[in-house]
Amino acid sequence: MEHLNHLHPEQHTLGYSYILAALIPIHPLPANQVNPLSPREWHNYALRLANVGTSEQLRLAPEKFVLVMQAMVSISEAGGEPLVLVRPLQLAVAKLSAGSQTITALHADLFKQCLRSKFYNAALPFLDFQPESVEPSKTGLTVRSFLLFCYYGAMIHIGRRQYDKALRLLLYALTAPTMVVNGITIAAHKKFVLVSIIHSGALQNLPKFTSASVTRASKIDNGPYLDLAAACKDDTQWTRLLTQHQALFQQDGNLGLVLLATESRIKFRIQRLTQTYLTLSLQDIALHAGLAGGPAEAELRILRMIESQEIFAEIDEAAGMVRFVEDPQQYDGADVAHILDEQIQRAKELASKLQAVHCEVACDKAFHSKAAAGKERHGRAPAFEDPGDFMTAEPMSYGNPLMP
Amino acid sequence: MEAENPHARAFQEAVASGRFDEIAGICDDYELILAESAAPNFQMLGHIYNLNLEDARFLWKRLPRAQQQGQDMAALFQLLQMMWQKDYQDVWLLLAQHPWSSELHPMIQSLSVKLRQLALKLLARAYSTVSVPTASALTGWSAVEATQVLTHEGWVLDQATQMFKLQHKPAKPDTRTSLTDLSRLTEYIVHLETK
Repeated sequence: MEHLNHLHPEQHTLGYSYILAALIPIHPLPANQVNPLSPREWHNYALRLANVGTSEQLRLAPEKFVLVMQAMVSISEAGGEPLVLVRPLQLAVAKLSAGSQTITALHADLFKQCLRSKFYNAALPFLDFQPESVEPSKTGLTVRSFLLFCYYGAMIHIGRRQYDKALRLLLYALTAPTMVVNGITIAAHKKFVLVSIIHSGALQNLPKFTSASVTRASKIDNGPYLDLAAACKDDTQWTRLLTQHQALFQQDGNLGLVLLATESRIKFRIQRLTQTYLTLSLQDIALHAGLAGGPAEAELRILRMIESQEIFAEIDEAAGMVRFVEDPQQYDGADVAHILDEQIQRAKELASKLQAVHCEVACDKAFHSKAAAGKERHGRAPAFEDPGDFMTAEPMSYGNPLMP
Repeated sequence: MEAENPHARAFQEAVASGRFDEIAGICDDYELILAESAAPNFQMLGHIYNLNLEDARFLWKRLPRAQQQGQDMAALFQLLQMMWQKDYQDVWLLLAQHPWSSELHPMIQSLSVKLRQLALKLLARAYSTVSVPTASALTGWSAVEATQVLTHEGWVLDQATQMFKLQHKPAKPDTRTSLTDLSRLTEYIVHLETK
């Protein structure tokens, strides 16, 4: 304990992490034992480590640092006030990732505290990136912390109504290769079903490379959600399922999302009209979309949808008609060329990274001995995965970059 | 916020020089350090000003009960609700009629100007003909004021039906692709074709 006072958390980050990890207060204490440091004292030391520790040193023993930070979180959580944890965790995550675009074991803890303190945008600098590599040996990442990264990250995007980004994160969780299905994955699937109804009006299929066990488990465990998605276009069925499973949705903490999905169905009904008609009276729109408020409500809804660029239309108030028009974006401007250029650059970067990974695997001793063993057993080398499988997942991860 | 620390200084400079779009960021950052909001009214209005309604909503949710009180805060929360629900006409009433405190006033003025610009753009995008009452409700101007502004913006009032008709759409800024962009894209295509 007195060693801590001889060390400086900035110069001796590594030693500091080890000692703090050894001194984590035990709770509840077995009889006849005393914690060397009271939880409060220990907590203050941990805070100092988060604030001034140096990145290079703590990345040498990430598991100790992560252990200390997570113990700090659980001591603080008992005392309430999640907001005080956000800043130290932001610093800790930044140090652990050392500025690279990677997921660390502490991302999920940060997101959780952002959710608890309702400070969602504090998570954004650590959420809005496309992770390309993971370095468990330097960042302490585990399967559980990866799944929680996806789940909590998606919750933050959902709260901020960024549904396309939320779907992407949920898909990361759902498509993570696994033999045994984690509870987090099942919870992520529930959100995935509801968010995809909200975002695109129907359930999106899981990509081909999803683990068979995930597909199977989600069908067994999340029946009510899948039933609801199947009843998306059927009003009576939808209402019936809603009342039948309301208690379940509430218990899962998904009732709010279910209600949003109910609301969004009207929007998609109007959107579908634009595919059929060129002009339509407000009266007819109200009728087709089942709006109780008549033409006035239809006009307001159309106006709101035009504002958020969900449809393109012109209202003729004199005649009470709506003319649906094409997306005015002609894809011929400098901005489009710029976006295209950016995407090509990204694709090039990704290709070179893939090439690097490929070389790494080709030189890997463990891979070769495994491949050789497989060859002996089956008389041939194990086939590579079809790289085309990945293509189906990519388009959605970019969304439409032209839409705000 | 008291002076001397960098956040307070940045905050005061942003308020004084009318850079209202920076206020929400400064306040958020300071809140993370203090673990409480130092200027909740400004922070709330700052997020609304940036049209980050989601972040404003969560700010409201995390403010302690005591900071949710106060006339201005109540009005700001109402404003947020109206903008969230796209309740266009009531926004104008609230902005104009609430007795905003003198420190918030310049920012409210600036927000009104910003929202009016957006409303005019929306009107041109969403309507080919629009009645005088609808136009005035959407832009928050009286019928007479709305007529003046809309005529200036390329709308023509048909006296018989009392309807505005859009004569010519506001010209879009010229954003044609430059030659350098095109030549670069061509290079990519040629490269891909030869493979």
